[in-house]
Amino acid sequence: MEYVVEVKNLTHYYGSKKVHENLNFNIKKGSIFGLLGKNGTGKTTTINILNGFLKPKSGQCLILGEDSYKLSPKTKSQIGFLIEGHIQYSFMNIIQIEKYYSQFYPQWKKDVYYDLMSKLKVLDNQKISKMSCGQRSQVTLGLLLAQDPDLLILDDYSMGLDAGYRRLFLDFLKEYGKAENKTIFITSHIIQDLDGFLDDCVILDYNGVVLQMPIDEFKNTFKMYQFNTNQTELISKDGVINNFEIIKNKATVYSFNDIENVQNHLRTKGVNFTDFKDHKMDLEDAFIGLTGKY
Amino acid sequence: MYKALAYKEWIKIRWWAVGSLILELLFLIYIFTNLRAVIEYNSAEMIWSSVVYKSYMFFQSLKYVPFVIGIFISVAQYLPEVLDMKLKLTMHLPLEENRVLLFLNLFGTTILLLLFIPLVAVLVIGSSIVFPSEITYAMIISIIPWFLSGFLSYFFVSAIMIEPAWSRRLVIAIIGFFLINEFLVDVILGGFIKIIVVLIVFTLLYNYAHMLSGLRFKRGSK
Repeated sequence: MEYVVEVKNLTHYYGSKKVHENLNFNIKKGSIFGLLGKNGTGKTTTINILNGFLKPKSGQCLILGEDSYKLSPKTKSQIGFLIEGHIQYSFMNIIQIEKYYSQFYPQWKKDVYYDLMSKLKVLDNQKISKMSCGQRSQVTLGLLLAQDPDLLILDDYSMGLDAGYRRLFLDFLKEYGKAENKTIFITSHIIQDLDGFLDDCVILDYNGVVLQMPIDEFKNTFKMYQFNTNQTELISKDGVINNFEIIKNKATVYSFNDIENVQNHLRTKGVNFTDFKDHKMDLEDAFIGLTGKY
Repeated sequence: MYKALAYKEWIKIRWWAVGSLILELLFLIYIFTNLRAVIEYNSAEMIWSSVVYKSYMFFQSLKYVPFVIGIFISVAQYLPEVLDMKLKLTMHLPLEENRVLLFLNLFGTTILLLLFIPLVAVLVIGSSIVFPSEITYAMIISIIPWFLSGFLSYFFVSAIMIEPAWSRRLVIAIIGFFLINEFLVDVILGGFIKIIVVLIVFTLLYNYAHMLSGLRFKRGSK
């Protein structure tokens, strides 16, 4: 198996605050990988470490076989990097910025950039600072695709974008990733958009990695069950129940176990239930079910 | 690739550089108009006496101009880079980070040189027309520290902006304030003659303050 990104025992602290402890994951070449988690779970910190903008306390990150903290210019040219909020040189216009970046990447695809720019209703001399967030996102996307990198690292591409621009962004990315066998590493706080987009994911919460598996496996195996019970106080997280919610006498439990296992488990805990139902979940429901609403 | 970097830096700096040039021009007009008025309304002996015994410096009003221009160029060059952490984009380019930082610094320093050289040239030519070479020479010695303060303000303000830690920013600002102050003290005409080499060496040394802050930014230091 060829890995483009290898994260080994990554540990990082901000002062005494733990961000990651022994974080491990690998990203396969040609896959679309999502790092999902609520705000403050260390997604941007991970991106900063992967791009060499932060030295981890311990552990190692290999990007295209090189230590992420000492990336060579050649390796950096193979990585496309989107900073959270579609940050770009806002003092430039779309012509200037293309002229600038094209000098750094030998395989630069000018046509790809201008194809995308032709869809935008912006003037050639309009500064990026005068564009809407959606338009800015298209400029950054155009630059990334023109760079033609082997690995795209996208830190919260969805920030500030409306539904249309988010969809447009992902549609272009998906086509690019699949057609060119490129690897995409993406973080986002809008999980529903990534349903059907990701191949693999890591889900983080404040205590570290909650889950690491292919996205289809997660959606197929993680279940939500709802039932009525009067013994709500007996329900708790354990090896079978990953998470639960109680509203009056209505209980919702989340589990990787099938319906029979969960029912048997509840009986052994002394929970009597009625109206037990298995509910289908989309990726966002599953994410919230796993990590909780708070 | 470095040509492209220079292109980006020029886009940021150009209007500030033009503004600085206009500022210099206004000061030159003021200085020479003033000098002409002094020559017209006073006798040659009186002017001589003022220059030789009272260290009259007809160019005195220029004192803080290089210092201010150094700040202008630094802000023009680095503020757009540090807003929204855009420096990350520059650091992510397929180039060695140290070289990128050195190049940015070299570019700003070159712009300052290009802004300062014509100013000094006009002053020297103007002074040579009115005064003997000894006084022009003393004037050059007097203004060198002022122009060095322009480079220093550029180096220090750049370092303050790039530096990621507020505590270190404060330390850099304090060092910069006291050091630049030494370059701007009032002395007699040509009074810096004995320490001018030391001042130049100091200026060159502090060039690296910006490099250290840049590398700390890259490391993600807090």
